[in-house]
Amino acid sequence: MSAVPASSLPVSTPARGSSVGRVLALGVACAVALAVGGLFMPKWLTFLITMAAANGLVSLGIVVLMRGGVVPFGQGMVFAVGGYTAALAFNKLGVTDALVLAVMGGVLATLVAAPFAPLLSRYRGIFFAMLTLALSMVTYGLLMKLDVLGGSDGFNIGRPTLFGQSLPDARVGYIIYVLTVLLATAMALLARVYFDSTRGLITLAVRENELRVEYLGGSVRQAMAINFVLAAFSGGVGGALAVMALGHIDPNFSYWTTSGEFVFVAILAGWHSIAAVFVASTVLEVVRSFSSSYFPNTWQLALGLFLLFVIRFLPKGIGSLWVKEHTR
Amino acid sequence: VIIVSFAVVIIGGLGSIPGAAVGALIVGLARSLAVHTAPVAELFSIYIVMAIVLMFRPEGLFQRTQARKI
Repeated sequence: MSAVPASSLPVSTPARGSSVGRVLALGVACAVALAVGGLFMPKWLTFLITMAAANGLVSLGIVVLMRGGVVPFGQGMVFAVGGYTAALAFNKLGVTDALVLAVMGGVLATLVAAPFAPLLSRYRGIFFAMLTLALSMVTYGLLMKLDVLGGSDGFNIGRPTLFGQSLPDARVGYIIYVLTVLLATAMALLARVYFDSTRGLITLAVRENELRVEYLGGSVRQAMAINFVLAAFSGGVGGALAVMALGHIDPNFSYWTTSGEFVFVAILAGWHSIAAVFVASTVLEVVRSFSSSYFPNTWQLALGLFLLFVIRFLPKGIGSLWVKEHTR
Repeated sequence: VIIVSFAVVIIGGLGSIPGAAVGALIVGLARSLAVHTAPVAELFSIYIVMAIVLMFRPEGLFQRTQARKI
């Protein structure tokens, strides 16, 4: 892979070195601002942002793949695997540390997704989307039928601890919120590092022209497989965090409408900016909770109209509001 | 419904009308067979069939292979 220096790829990287510190500072500042701001937020808002950040991690995985030109329609699978791992580890293994549960969710989702990565890396476009969808629906079917895993009702998960401390009633929501925000920031910064690395840039080149990448000595399938595995890790962490915030898990985590929501957020955000993923995820949660309280039966309508407007006026997603176009 | 019809089109090959017909037949038969023999698998029988077809014919059954353009 090192045979292809980043400078030979059809993507210009203007002065990344100086912007690394800026991005890092910006990310940390955002996380700290959200964490401190959470002290003054009402409970519904911290919960909403917690869910938005957890779901945003899954959409971040989709964006990782979207940069290579494929859209997975089955990220519900890794979301569910991460969630079930955290919930089962809590209930059956007695692991209660929130951070450990989140990482376990990510690792197990990676392990489940990894065998499929080489297979899926052959496919593009709708074939990739449908195969990932197939995986997530098979997972859904299995989770529905296995009574050991709670069947169609799912099961509850108790209250996690953090660093050996039990969380008091009044603060538990806030602490899970801070943990989720910090983990999401860490993952976002790591994603930025990955996107700017040689392999991350090869992914962008794959999107432009696969054949040229192969002639230049890069492996398209390897890049795709690695992206898929990374996306699985991100999704698994997101699932584990979501289940800790919700306190309940059921097979709907893996259903295709859930996957559809993640794709919705990723398309809304576009693949140019990572911050946009979390912004879009928050927007989705806000639109959903407000429209389901004001027009209970037509919130999908509001969401659909919103997506139509974004596609019409910002075809490259929310991220194009503040990211300048480097590629053609 | 939309997912099932996508599966049909994928199995047959995008843009192929006979493919869609054959795909619909395959999906329908697979689903009925699943209901008859193993009701547990009814939910994901379509996806399994689709995955198997795509494993051997990545472009669907009735798609001609095309030369890649540079």
